[in-house]
Amino acid sequence: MLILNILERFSGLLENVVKVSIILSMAGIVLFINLAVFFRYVLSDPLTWTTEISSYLLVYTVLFGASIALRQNQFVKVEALLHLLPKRLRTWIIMLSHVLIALFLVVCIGSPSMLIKKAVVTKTVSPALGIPMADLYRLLRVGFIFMLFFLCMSSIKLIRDNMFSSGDQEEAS
Amino acid sequence: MIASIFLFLLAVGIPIAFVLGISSVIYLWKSQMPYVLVSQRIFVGLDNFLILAVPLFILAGKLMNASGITRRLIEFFYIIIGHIRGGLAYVNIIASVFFAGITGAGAADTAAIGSIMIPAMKKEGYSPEYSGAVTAISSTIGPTIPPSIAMVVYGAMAEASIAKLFLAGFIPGLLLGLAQLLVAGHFARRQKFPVRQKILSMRTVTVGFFNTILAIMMPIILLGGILSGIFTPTEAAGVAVFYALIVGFFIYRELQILSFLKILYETSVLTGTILIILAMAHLFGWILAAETVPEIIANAMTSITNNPIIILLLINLLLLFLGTIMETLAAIILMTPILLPLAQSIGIDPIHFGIIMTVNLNIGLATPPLGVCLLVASPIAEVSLERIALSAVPFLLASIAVLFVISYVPQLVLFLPNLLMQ
Repeated sequence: MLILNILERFSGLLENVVKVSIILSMAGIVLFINLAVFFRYVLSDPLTWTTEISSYLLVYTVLFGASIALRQNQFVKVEALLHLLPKRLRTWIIMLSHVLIALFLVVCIGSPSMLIKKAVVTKTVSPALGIPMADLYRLLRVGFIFMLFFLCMSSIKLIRDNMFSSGDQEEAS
Repeated sequence: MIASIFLFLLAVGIPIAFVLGISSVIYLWKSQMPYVLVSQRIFVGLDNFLILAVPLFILAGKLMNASGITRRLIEFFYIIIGHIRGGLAYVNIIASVFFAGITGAGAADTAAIGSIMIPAMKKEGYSPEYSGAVTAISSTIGPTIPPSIAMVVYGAMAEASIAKLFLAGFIPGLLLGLAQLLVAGHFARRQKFPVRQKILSMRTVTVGFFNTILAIMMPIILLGGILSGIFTPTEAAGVAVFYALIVGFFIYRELQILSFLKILYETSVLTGTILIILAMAHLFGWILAAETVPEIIANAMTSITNNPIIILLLINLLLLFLGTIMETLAAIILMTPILLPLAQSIGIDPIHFGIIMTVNLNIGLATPPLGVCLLVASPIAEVSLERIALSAVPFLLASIAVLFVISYVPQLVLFLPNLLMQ
């Protein structure tokens, strides 16, 4: 149980870190887009890097935001059929789907390896800001790792709830 | 094979984003293609300046509500038309049409307008289910009137001009509003809704107008900027956020730092849930294209019937069904790559098709089982979802009638973009 408590506390901490980072990133997007408009129309001196940085910020806002959404079970899904099933069966299906999603996320985490290797060898950098592309791909991987972690946490919760309350609760996941 | 896996995963309630991802990985595995494609397609799918407009429009809408802009718009319409018979229902619908001028997100509209209008309507003797139904159904107009998040997403999927889509949405959006006003008018006469005895003075209108002018300016700046080509849709959305911040913090002074941070957070998570689907669809769409699935479906359809009227009818019925069970943007992301080639093969313009899709799928916002506008309206009206849904049926029929009119009379949709953007 101790290890579960530590994990739970760690995930609470991680959740807060991710929350702060997506807030900053969203605020950054607003700032850079408005800077771009201001420099182009008011100062007639367009900036070249604002498009790039706001697009990259969006990539990570989406991935990190999705990891929080996964933690809070806010993903968009079609549940109409699921609700017709008996509760026990439903819990099993949800657990099975967690396994499938976890496998997929493992593929996602492994997937950027080639991209990173190539970017390191060729020293590719982003066109306007000169950020190493390898780092950008690594961050992509971090997003998937967060998703996998939060998914595991909700699986643990699902299993625990079902072990200790013999299936009384509704919508654990 | 992939299709059946896809449908199975969707049916058992796996999030749509992961349904797309898992099906894609199974395909890559079977055809022995490198998994590096997964992260590559996801990255490229999100690294897109155009879709930045999605979080920014969501943010602008939330800020409008928190900064008191929405409330002032509603109050203004209340002053002008609130006193006629059934006036509050009209205020509700017209406020939706205007509110839509800024965000174009249905559920946000229900929450913002409903929290003010539903209690007001109940107080003046409207039934709770009718109040909830009018709010929910009028919110479905929003995404058709520019600017619209749904159209940005469609434009990104179909590679169609967002500005043209926005222009094309005007007439259908106004038709939807008109149709619902007619239904509301019918009920107002038949059920003898209350009349507020108050004489409208020039003074109250003027004062009301000046109180609202900053709110009314917002859609004008936004649309004017996009349609005149000064801003890209993304920049316009960014400027809208900035405008709402200035008005909220410094002029109306209703916005607080803490609530602003909370809104930034909510927007990021919401953006994550929507755009992660788009990212995965980028991967899945690549596979669909590689396997020429859209062509196969188009051929299968056209082998059944060559009659464009019937094909369009079938497409519309399919979308209406999908709209009832699936979130609008998810459905657009999923169905555009499949249905657009079919639509084009029977001579439908991509802009026209985008509007059909938007109007169609948004009708589902006010139908069970997955009608987010109903879900939001129900607790505000303090009445069950079913009763609101039942009350909304006449309005729904009116919306469906408009859908068929714009489906079969493309001129209504294409008139403005052709006139102004050749």
